[in-house]
Amino acid sequence: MAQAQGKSKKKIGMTTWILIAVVLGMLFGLLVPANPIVTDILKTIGQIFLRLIQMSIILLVMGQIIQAIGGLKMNELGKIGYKTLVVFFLSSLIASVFAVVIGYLLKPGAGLDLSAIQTTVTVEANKTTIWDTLLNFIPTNAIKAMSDGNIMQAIIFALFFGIAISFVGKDSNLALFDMIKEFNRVILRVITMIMQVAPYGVFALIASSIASYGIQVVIPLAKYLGVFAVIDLAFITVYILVVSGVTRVGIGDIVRGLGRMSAMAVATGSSAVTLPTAMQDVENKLGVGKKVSRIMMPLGVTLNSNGAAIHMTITLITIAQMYAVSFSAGDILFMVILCTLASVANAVVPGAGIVSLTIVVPQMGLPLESIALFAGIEIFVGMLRTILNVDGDALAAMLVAKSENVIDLEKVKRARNLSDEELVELAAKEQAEEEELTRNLAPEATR
Amino acid sequence: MVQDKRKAGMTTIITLSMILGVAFGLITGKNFPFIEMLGQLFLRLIQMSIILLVTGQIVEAIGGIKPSETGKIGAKTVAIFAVSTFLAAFFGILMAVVFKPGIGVEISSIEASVDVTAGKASAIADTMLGFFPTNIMQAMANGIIVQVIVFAIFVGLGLSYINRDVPSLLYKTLVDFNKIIMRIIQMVMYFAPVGVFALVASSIGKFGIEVIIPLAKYLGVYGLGTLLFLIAWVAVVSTYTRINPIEIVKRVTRMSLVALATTSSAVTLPIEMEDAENKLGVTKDVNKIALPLGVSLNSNGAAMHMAITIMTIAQLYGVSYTFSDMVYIVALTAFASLANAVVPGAGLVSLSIVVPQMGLPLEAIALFAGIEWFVGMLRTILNVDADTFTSMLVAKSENKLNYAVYDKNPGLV
Repeated sequence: MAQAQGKSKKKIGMTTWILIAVVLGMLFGLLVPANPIVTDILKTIGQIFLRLIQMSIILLVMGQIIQAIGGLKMNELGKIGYKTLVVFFLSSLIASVFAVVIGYLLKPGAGLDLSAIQTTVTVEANKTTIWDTLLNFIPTNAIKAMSDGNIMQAIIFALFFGIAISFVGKDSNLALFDMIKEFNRVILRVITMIMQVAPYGVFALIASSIASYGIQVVIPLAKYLGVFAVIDLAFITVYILVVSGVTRVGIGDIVRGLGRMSAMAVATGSSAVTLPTAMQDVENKLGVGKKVSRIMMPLGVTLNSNGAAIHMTITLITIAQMYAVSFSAGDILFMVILCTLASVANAVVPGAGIVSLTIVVPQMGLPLESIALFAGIEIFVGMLRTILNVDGDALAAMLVAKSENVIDLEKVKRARNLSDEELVELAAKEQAEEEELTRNLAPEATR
Repeated sequence: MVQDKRKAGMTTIITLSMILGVAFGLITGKNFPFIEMLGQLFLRLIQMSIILLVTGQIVEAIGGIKPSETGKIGAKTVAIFAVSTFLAAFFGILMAVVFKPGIGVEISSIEASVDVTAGKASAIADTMLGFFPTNIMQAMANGIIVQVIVFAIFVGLGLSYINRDVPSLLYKTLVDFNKIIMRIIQMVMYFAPVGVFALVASSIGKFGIEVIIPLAKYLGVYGLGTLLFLIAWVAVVSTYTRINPIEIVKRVTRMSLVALATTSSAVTLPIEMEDAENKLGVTKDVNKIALPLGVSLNSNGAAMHMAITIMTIAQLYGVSYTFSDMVYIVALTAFASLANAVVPGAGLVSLSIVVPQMGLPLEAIALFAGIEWFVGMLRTILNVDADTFTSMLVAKSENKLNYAVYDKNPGLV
């Protein structure tokens, strides 16, 4: 232990490097004059990093869920599932309310010069009904869902698979289940290896995105972005305070634990890509027990999008103010519920923000074309949205873990001094020991 | 036996749901989006595991073939299985074309939305080419069942060699995997009463009560088809073995009744094996190989069911098939009959496998959900009897048919 502490005192931790990379990337993108060759190189490097993580996401998500659920008893699953849905729904609802309050206080849409915004996109009306959306959660072909990268459908199938394992594997040791557990270890190892180069990838991603957009696009909508950022900050501050009080994890520890995943969220703009990092940190740095994190985090990628709820709400308010439309109290209530529900249905890829807007904007009687105004700043909006989606998932997991009594405060304390690689090593070792134990205690296979 | 009761119980509930669905559709006279969605949800839940079910079942069934079964007896048995299954499918199509159960009530006119031979011209050779996948992952992702089955057959054969002397870990894992998939389908079937109710209610709500009429016609035509095919079987066996056809029918009655009552080939198997040996003279060495093999590999009843139902649905939707399309249907349903789902509502699962392959909408199977009980009876009796008749043919050709049993009165045995 002493040796480990000595090592990390001399090095700067990986998380810190990633945060430095974010800041450097932003400065680089904003201040260094845009050079097409440099931007291209950076963009390629960033995209390669993104792809390296993306390639394993579907397998990671499915594997984690199957393992988590396969090892649970049914009533446990029911309890955790129910609490998960409650926390997800309430947090998204409250996020939307925050957006309403701050949006009306700060009025981002008032006095906006519409002519200064170049619109380069034409927006088409969205014809999917709520029934279609619900229906589309269920895959028609499990393999196709995996091949299409449809995370929600893959999760639903993995849920069924995990539940079936929990029933069938009750009395005998399934060789299949052991294989799946081993497979998960391999996938996590793959991602850990890739995360070694995260600082470079993050820098390249952020620098190239900002450089290719340039500051001119931002200026007319700066107030909008500013208000959005204020809402994010307010919501997360309150959320962290609440979680800290309930779970008794120190605020500093929580912020430290959220650091790496937030950096990844900002850099990649995708909750799915950030998931492996988020899961590791939620377990190792925030002390959330595996049986909660492995179900909630993958589910949270699709079902819990506090950031998206805020985004849709504030954008609707801004558009309304731009066109001098006023909402009644009833309208506002409707809007909050609409955005909360829509945040459940939104996809997890970068750029999904515009699609979500095409669903909600017409519902509030606002013109569809107004969405095009926001297309130019989608990159920045995506950052603000994803960071809260991801952090919201982690904080929700902490709450549910606390109510299930699986918050490990010792782990949180220990994480203060260990580097990321050391944490992963430790976690892997503990897991292997756990499995040795269960294997020795398990009844003989009935074959 | 407990599983029996549960299965019978579930099938009864499903039939009740259909009746409720009809009532609901009649009374309200319209289709509610929420209800329609429930029905669609149910269908999707079945569908999601289909590819894995088909692949897994076939690889396991073929991969588990033991060396003794690959000898002459096994080979002849499989050959007869193949021929009879194809003929059963063909016969199903024939019955549908001749008697046209689906004509008269048109649900809606749709063009077969998918070119079923994957974009190739309608020549027989191209159809056959289309059976073989260029990329198995792509075939699975795109849900091209015939290609997946062909691949699974080869993998199964390969596995059976490896699994021969030492039980292979892969095989054991596969068995576990299939148990899981089967469990998933069972879990989905718990939702069947709601799903069937929703499907039937929305169909009636959309199209009116007249849609029931083709169902009655369909059942009649299918029943007739099964009967005729059985008669044909008896004729063939009688001619080849030179046994009086009446005797054959008398002696096969008990297992047939059990098949009708239980709608399960697996449950009927012990009785089937006993009667095949003691009443029909099939000696043990043929009996022990052919009949269990038949439970998984031979399903004349399933093949005919799928073929005739596809044609009926096509008629309901005003879709017409070319000759090559029909050849494809024969192959598709014959192959698909290899994948058995031992669940209540297996008929629905089979239809979920093949109906989308022919460009027909999956909701079409909604109505057939209600007569699942009758369908199960017809499928099983043909499955079981065909297995037995096959074993008689094989036994005769190996000179292992014991004619002495025919001196005894079947009632006394």
